[in-house]
Amino acid sequence: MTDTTSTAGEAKPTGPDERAVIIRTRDLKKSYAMGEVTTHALRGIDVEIYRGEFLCILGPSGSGKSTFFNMVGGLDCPTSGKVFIDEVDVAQLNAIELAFLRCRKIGYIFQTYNLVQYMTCLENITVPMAFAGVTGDDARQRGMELLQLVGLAERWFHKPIEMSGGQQQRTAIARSMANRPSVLLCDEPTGNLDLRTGAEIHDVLQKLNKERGVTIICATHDHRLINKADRILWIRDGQVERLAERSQVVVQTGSIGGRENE
Amino acid sequence: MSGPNPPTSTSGKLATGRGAAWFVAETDKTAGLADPHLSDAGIQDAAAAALPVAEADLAMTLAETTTNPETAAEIALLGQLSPEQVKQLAPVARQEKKYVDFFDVLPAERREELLREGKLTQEWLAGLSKEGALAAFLAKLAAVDKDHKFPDAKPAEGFAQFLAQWNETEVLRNKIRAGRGEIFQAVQKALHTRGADEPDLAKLDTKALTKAMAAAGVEREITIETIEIIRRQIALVRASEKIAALLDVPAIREWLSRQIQPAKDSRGRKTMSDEAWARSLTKGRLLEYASTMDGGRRLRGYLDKLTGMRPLKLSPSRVQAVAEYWVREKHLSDIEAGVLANVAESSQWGFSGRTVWLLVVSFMVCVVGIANAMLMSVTERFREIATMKCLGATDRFIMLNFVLESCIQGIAGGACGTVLGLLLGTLRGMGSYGWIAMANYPGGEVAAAAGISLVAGVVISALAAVYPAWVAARLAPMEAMRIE
Ligand SMILES: Nc1ncnc2c1ncn2[C@@H]1O[C@H](COP(=O)(O)OP(=O)(O)O)[C@@H](O)[C@H]1O
Ligand SMILES: [Mg+2]
Repeated sequence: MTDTTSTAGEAKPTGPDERAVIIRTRDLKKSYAMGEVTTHALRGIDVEIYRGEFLCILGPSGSGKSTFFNMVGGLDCPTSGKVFIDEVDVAQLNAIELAFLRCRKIGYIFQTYNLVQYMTCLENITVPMAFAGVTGDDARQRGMELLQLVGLAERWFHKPIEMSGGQQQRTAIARSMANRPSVLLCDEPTGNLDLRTGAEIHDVLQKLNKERGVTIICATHDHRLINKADRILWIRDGQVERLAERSQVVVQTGSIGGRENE
Repeated sequence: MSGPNPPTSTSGKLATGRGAAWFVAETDKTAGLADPHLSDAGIQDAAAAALPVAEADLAMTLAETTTNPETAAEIALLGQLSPEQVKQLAPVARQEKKYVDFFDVLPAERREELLREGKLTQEWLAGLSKEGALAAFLAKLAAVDKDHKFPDAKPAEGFAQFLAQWNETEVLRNKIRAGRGEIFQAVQKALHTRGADEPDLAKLDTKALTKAMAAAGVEREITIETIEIIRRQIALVRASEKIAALLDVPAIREWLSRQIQPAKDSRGRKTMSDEAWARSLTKGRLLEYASTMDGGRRLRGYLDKLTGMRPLKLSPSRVQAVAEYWVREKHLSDIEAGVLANVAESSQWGFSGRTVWLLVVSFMVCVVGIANAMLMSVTERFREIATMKCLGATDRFIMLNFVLESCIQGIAGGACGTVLGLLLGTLRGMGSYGWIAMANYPGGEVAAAAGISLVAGVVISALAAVYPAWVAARLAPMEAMRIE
């Protein structure tokens, strides 16, 4: 476990070969057997995700983005193939180690925010800290810092139901950062939000990536996010359709990106 | 006698619980109409009750002697009378019966007017022979309703004549009474000196009886024929004794009070409510009532009916009726002892089959109900649980979380149930025993029961939550990603 915050803001290596790989998948396959029919959600994915990069995953609904996240985040086991996080084979981890991984290494952001309804904003953020053994004033102080980071410091005592979708998602982002993970997995974080609020979330994610060096993997249908990403991964029918640096993509889809960027 | 003494207030608190045991034993005994082993006090009561019954019986028996030679022989033997003397008694007895019947049908108010204390007793009849007493009585009699005809066409002469004859023959009747008493005592003695706990009349032989008679200072010739008569008489007295013993049982007294109607005025209106009447009919009053000729006769009839019906069976409500009677009679210390004994007996956690069955069923219902509620809670919170797992919660934490939640609900529910049970139980105790239940509140047992209930509530809740908690813990964290 490397604390990535210390390297925040430092110049990132440019060449792919020089960068440290944080997540690597090897021939990742996942199929769901439902009675007679077997759905092949992932059909063999080989990707390397670098530490500190902002990876954007694009693909139509049902292409396997969520399934990919579940594999990479250690939430589900692949049918075949392997996932390495920091060169550790996730399949080799036992239940406690997996819980440890989810607690400290990876932050999850859901399309539906998934905040605990009966807890206040701040309490929601301190839940994962309790799992990591940080409680009391330490946890509250750290929680307030995170709320400041996402711009919700004045709303710490509100319940999720008293907040807008964008505010809830920002709270969720703060919660995902509770134990300073190296990776943030965002599964369509702006799927339930309007364009403007979505842009706010994009800004927060970019800020985390730039200022704290957090590796961000974000599935989205929002093409504006492409402009903020380092690399873009297209998935179709459970396979990698294309993996490209943004610079290349912007040249090719310049008109689209430019228009949406307005 | 070997019978147990009833607990008296002078014996203080019967911490040994003999009070309750005595209730049960006594009620049981009279219920089954077993030969009652009476205490010394019981013997006295029995004698008091038996003699008047025998007195009323005597008039009837004497009236019978003209038609029944066997009865005549019996009477002759008892009183050591000649057949002529017995014949002389018969008409007087028939007259007496007539008067008894007359007074019997009078309303209570009229009876009060005519008789001293409203009772036709031996003493009253004897008192009439005094100077002027008869005249006063006849004056009163003249004021009696015309509807009720005095047995004599000419009351003055007829009654005076009867009285004269009655006084003349009183010596003979006294001989019969005394003879019967002597024989009874001697027989009792004979039976008991033979060492039997339960004297058996059938085993009484001529030799033993003669010996006992001699020992009692009674000079009588005992033959095979006469012993049968004696046996019959003894059986009669014993029946009276049993009846007297029955009067000890409040439930029987209550039944009797319902049979003997409360006092009525001349227009047939009750002067007392049934309730007040039943309450006023203490044992003393009953014995008083029985000591009158007509009262004794009537009581005898009811008791015969009662013993013939054998309606008394030991039941909790009857034991309770006994207890209630004792409360009314202010035998509080005994009741306290009874309550204590009851509590002592029931506090040994001796559950009846029905209670065990109820417990098992309610436990099962509880477990299923709690498990169901917890499962609902788990399915409702699928996303929350999965999110927690994504945030780093271990399976153990999730499981513990749900079991603890159920435990807290168990404590809350258990506390509510305990308070409710405490209230209901106390109210029920108060309903059964009145304030005595509070005075003898079994604090220790109640506290223990409350503690056990609470612990049981928590344990059941925890057990019932194990499966739902396990379901929650097994939930895949990827459920958090799912979008409905
Ligand atoms: N738990 C599951 N059981 C069966 N099929 C599933 C399950 N999860 C996903 N799938 C299937 O796998 C495919 C990929 O789904 P998903 O990863 O959710 O796509 P995306 O997130 O890109 O919309 C879809 O066809 C979906 O129906
Ligand atoms: Mg999806």
